[in-house]
Amino acid sequence: MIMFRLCGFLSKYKKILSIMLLLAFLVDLIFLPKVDEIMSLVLFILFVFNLRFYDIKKYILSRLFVVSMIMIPVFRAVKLEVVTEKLAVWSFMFFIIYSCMYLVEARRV
Amino acid sequence: MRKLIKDHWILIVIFLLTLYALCPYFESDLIIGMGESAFSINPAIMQLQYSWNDRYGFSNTYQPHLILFGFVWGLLSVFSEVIHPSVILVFLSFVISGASLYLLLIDVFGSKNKSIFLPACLLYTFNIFRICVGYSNPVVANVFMSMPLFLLVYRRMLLYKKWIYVVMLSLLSVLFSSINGNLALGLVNYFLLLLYLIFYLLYRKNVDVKKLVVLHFGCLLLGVALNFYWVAPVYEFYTQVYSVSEGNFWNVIGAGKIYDNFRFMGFWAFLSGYGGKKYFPFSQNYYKLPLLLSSYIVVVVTFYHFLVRKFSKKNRKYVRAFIVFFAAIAFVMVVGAKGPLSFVYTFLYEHVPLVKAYREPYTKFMPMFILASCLSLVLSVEYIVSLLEGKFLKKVFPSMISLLVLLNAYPVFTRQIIHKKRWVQGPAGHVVVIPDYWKSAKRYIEKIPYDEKITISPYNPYVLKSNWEYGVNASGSVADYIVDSSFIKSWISPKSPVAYLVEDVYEAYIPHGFSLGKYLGLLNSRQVFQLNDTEWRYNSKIDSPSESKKLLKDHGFSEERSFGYYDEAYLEKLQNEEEEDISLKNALYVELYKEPVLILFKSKEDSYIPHFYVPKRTVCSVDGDNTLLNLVALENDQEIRTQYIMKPFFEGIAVPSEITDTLLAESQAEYYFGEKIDHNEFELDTLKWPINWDWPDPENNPEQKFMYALVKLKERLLILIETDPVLKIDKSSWLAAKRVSEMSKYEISTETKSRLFKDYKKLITDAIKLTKDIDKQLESGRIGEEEYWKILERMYVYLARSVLELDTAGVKEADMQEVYRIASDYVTWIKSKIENNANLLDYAFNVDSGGKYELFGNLDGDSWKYIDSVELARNEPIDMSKYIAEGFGLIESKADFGEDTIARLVKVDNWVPGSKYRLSFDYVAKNSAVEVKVLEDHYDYSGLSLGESVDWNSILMSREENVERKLVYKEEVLGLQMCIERSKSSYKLSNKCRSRYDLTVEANTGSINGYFVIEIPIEASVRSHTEVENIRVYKESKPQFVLKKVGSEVKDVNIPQISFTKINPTQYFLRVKGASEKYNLVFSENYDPKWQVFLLDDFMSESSGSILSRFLKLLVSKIKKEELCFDDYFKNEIASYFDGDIVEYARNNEFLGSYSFTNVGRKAISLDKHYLANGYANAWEIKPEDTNFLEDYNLIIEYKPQSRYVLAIFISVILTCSSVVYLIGYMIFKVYKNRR
Repeated sequence: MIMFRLCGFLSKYKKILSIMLLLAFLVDLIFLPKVDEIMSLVLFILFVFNLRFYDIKKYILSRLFVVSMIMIPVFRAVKLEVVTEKLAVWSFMFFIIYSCMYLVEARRV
Repeated sequence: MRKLIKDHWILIVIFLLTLYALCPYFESDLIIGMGESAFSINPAIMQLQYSWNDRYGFSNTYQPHLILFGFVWGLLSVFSEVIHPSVILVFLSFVISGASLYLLLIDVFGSKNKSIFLPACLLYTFNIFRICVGYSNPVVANVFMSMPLFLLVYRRMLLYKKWIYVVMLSLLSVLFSSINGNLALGLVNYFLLLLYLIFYLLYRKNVDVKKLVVLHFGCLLLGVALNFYWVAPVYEFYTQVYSVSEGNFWNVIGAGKIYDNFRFMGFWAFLSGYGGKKYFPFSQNYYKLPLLLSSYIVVVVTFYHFLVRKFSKKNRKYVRAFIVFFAAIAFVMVVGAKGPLSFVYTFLYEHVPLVKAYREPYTKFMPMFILASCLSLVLSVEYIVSLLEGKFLKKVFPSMISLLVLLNAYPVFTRQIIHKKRWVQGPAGHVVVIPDYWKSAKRYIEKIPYDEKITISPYNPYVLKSNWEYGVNASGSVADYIVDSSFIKSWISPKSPVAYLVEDVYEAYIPHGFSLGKYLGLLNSRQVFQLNDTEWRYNSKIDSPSESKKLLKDHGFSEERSFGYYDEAYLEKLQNEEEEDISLKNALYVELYKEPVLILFKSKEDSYIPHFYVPKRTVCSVDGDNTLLNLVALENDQEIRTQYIMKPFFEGIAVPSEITDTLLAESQAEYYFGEKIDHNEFELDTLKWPINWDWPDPENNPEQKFMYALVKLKERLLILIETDPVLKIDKSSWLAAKRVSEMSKYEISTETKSRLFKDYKKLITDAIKLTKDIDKQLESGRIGEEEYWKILERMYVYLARSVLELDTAGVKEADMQEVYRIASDYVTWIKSKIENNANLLDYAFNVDSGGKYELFGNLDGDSWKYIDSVELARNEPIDMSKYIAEGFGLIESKADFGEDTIARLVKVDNWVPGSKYRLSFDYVAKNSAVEVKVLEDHYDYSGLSLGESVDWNSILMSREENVERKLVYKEEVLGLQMCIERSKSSYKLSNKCRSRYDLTVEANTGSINGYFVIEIPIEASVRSHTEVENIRVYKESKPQFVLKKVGSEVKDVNIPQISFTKINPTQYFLRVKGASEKYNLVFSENYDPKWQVFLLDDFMSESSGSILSRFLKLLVSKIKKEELCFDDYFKNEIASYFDGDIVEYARNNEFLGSYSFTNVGRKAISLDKHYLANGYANAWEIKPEDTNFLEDYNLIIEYKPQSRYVLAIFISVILTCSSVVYLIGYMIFKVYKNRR
């Protein structure tokens, strides 16, 4: 309940949240290659939040997913394995969040 | 025909590509099979028609393979003169997989533009996942073949709600029942259907729930009825496995990388290997740019439809929603316990019972994700093609993607996944060609008429690798797969107690006087099959051919027959690619040159016990360390017809206590093995500090005030937030050691030193105080004895090391006095703790009653000897120190180190591989360490190669020459013995006391000599800081003691004469004559409560037995057209044992006979008197009242589930045939209706 209320409060600031997601993504990728817990937490909050309020358009996620899938082989080829896996974790989340959002929307229409 | 080809050209493409990939294997003697998928070498090993498998594994869990390896294999065997059925199966598994997806795609997307299906069909047929987990794995192959068909039929069932789909779905479940050989994979198909049902209920409007429920109920009923023959046994097997392991399975739920999972990779073994060789040598290529790009381009194209906002076609929204739903769930499952959503899988794995079976989520759920991806790929390709302009581009695009798909699966087409010839240590390979000598062995052994088991030598690991020309590895032994006989070996399956008994021969010591022949005789084996082609060099448990031969000869086994011969030409043909250790490479030639490949050894005649026997003696040992091996050694001189009643060491075997009590009361001897009471303590003088242990290495100079203040703050916080007292002790003692290290490392002022010392004192005092308080934790049971002593020991070693360091760190004398006082107090306290403990050599015997016992001891690990007669009260421990002489086991002693001595080498006489040796000496090593090394001599064959070829002339002479000395152990230690002397007002650290060094090592396999080397640094010797005295080497043995209570004398009972014959693995007939008194009957087959004894007396008329039994008997007689009576089965007498007390008749090998269903509905005799004998066998106590006081009668020993199993097969066959007839009828009717 607290989480939903918090999400409700945050939903007023859609753009800020979109930027936050991208920032979290970049910070995690570049600066925190080993701190999984922080990223997981941020993602989980966003995950719950997105399911409830659709603050971030799902098409942004699908594009991010496709771009990640293009970047992964490049990073892996230059042997940046940690970054590759991190990117894959994000892609995985983009994939799942997108799917959930799409499925909820498809059912409503 | 042309139209058909034109319409379905995709199927032709798949067919041709598979043909290209597999055509090199189209030869009659090439078999595709390996590891756990080696059944294709010879499916007869599974004994599919029986519920008890006496060849491989005991009890039968292979029933789900009945259709595939029974019916389908039989059909494919028609072509066995040209192509082996295993190759056809792999071929079909590719083609049918592609075809079944093709059918699904037509159903989902329509048949208007089939060219868009090509990439998806190829991706489903040829993908890296199938390469990783084995395309020859019948279970995975079945999943790929069946999954699209299941989804197709189920989708139609929900859509049209017709009963025909219920029938079709049930038939599919039978056709692909082989999947259930791996229940986790078997359930994946049904999980897929469940997902579709959930999706259907969520996204379809106006669902007719009532109709749906009826259809599903029908599906369940018909499905279970059709699959009845395997459902019950498999369910029983898994519940047993679950209860034995208590749900704790080895798992890899978080293995692999998520980025690999997207492109269907991630198998935990994909990048690993064995012996320096990769399982998949091509795996590295998948991390190079070309394949990285091609594989991810396929992923991008697959999910490209994510970018599409709206499709022009009407039904695509629904299809897309299902694909997204299906792909997301499948991928979360594939990823398993990785990434941010790992908690989902972990929760399911821990709390949902069936999910426990999914300990490798990648291998189990990836087929689902691949199917979802293929559907997704069609959707994306369809959309992209719709955007493209021009016919040419529309056709080229799917072809381009198809080429990328094929590129990603390139090892299939370069045949790197099916190595024809490969070294057994090299890549995982699949092609097997059975050598001719094995075919000769098969012919010879299969002619042996006796109902006995042959023991495999040497040690048989779970997967045995054999040095064949083409290479082979198979779970179990290759002998199982080739020869149709019963073999026993060390590693069979988790259900076989006899495997543990064989394992003991390789694992445990073999006491002197122990007769291997008698031991194997008790296991119903008198022949040992020595497999010299076993790869022994990379597994220390496996003896080399010469070692195995020596063991067998020492135990009186003689060579009966040999097969094959290692000459130069044949040895050169063998794959032997060891590159790093040339000596190891040449060991193969030295051991095998001019030796037979397979040797059948035979034990002495008088040590064999037939499959059935009536014991004359009973020996009990129902508690303690009661290995059969020890009991046989202790009873070596006694009557061979003995039964040993032991504690069921194998979980899952429950024997009624009443029968055990009776046997104990009537036994001729009772043994109680003693267990040394473990006090979990330590001796202060043996504590040492190996110099490779971590000792704090500070990074901040205490003089740098600001930085050091931060360090201190962090340390304080660390201790403050620590609530666990054990960890608090650890941290405090570590930080105290750090203070000492800082004093030694940095040039610091006296003031700083004093500050550091103060800190040290506080930390060490706190740690000691907490350590002393640990007593309370021990009393309250929060920590165990073992942990308690470890804490005390750890505290002591940190304290002693810091005291010794401080002694030379220039600390003020007054401060040192403080340190000595603290250390002295702790040593006094700890000594009081040690002294409170009981004698170190107390042995406990769990005897039920007090009285007189004979005490036997095996002191040197060599033989059991009578020691004493003791009077013992119940559960009273015995102090054995009086029986173990001072210096027991001493084999070598050396003089002390003199002033100029810097090293001493001790050669150990009679160094025997597998034995343990202990080096002991007293020493002082406070500032510089004493170094101890263990060296071993091994034969060195590296000089036998002349360039590329082997020097055959020197091979035979090489055994005693060329020895290489290897370093096998090295350690440098500081002694921690502190002698703090106290005078009136001061303390002093004296040099009087010595630490004691003890090192026990086990001589490695293949070693011929062993040496201990003790060295001290030159400067240490000169400064007299280091001394070494009393050097001794002992042959280490764990003394064993046993109490024997002599029981009643052997009565001169009237032993009945028994004739027996084997009908099939689940049924034996016995004729008993002269059974006037009670007797025990031992049946040397793995214990199972479902083995039962039925009486077939003369009064049993045709009308006796249940109606079902009589009906089935009538049915069998109609099928077989001849009816045999009981005596007809006893045709050829082949052996007689114990002066005719036991007579063996030739085997009958009859699956269905006149007596197959005789016991249906009848009650077995001696049900409550069925017990475990010899640690593995079935035994019954049979009384005259059980047999209607008859003296001569017939018995049937039967594995009870067999009649049910045969009945279930009948039912399944009848229902399946009826369903097929219904299906054909329906289709004919439909065609007829359409034409009209």
